[in-house]
Amino acid sequence: MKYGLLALAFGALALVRAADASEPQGIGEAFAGVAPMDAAELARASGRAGLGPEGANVALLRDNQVGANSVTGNNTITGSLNGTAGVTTVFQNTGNNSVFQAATAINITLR
Amino acid sequence: MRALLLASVGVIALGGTAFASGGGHGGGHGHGNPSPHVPTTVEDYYAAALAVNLGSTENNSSATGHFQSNRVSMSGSFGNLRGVANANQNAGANSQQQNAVAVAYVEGCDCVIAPPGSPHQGSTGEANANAVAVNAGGVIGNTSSNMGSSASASMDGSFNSSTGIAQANQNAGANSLQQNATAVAMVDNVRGRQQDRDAWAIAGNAGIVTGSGNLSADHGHQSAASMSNSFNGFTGSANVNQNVGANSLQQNATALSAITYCNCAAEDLSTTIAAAGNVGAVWGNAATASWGSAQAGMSNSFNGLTGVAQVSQNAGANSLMQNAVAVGAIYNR
Repeated sequence: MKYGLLALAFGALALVRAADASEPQGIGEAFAGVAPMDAAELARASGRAGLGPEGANVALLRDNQVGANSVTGNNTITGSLNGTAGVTTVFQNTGNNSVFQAATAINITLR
Repeated sequence: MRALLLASVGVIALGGTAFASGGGHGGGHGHGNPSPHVPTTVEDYYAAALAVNLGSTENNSSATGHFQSNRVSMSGSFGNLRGVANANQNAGANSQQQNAVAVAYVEGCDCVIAPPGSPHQGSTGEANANAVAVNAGGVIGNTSSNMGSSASASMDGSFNSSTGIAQANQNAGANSLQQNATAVAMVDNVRGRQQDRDAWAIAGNAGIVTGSGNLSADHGHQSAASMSNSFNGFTGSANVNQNVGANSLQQNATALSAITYCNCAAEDLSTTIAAAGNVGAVWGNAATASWGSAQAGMSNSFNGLTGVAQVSQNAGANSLMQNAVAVGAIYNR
């Protein structure tokens, strides 16, 4: 029994060696013509990862009632929001049964 | 070889005050093979800030009669502010206003580190700044009636030339919910041949105006929300809500995360995550407004502003307004 297992192990090893010999070329041969990057070049390499910017608001507006002849009014913006820099969101509402949503996501990487 | 990995993730833009500042313990602790001239340093900082508001307004009733006037106003206030301001004004009924700000900031040391190529290889800098600001509120089963009355919310000449974080809610309506949340996380000036830092900020609001249904009945009611000459020259983050309507929900959320790096480390890993979001529901409410008026106005405001501004003005009914901003930034100091 012991010799049988030993013979099986040698047989498997022989098959593996035969498979290696049948490969057309090794990894070293495949990159034989490529010069390795030096440390300075690698230093300039950066890896970046992350999800794309996403913005999300989730809202439900349902089964609301407004009585007949209900008034709405005026929305006015005058002389405002001039010369702004950045992210600005403005909502104005005098109506009824409305949904306003805004979402902004910004990724910045400066090197 | 130097490896530099910058990962900036802006995930979700989903709507108390807390501050945390990383003191750390850097600056020349001896480890490994110290030198009297170029010490090996170990920086390890962690700053966490959490701000949460939870509220519910249920089964209340309110009534105003002829010539009754409910007003909130702010004028000539919060000018040249530096820092954080939360301001709430309310003259309505059955309403809820919430603010939350959380700031986590890590400022590293100016300690000397072993430069690249130095035989002292052990200097490391690690910093984490995490900030979370959350509001959750509900307005359920309330009633309001206004007959021949008026309600107004006004802001004039306020928050001009201010710097920092400002959150303001003004309400003169009924059955309403207003929420703000801001979370800021930043890591700055961490040093070492090996640097690892992350900053993430999460701001969110969750609100509901429903349940057995809110009721607003107005007749001959004058409602107005106005803003004038305010927030001019403001720098920073501003969330502003004005409401004189009914059965309404307004939410803001802002999350900012930033990291500065020096481009001088042998190994550098930076990660920012900014997430801001609002979840809201308005259903099953009823409103009538006959022989009245509703107005929302803005004049000469937010001029020359730098940063983030989210503004909601509402004079209607059964409405929902949400804002969300998330900014993640990594930049070379």
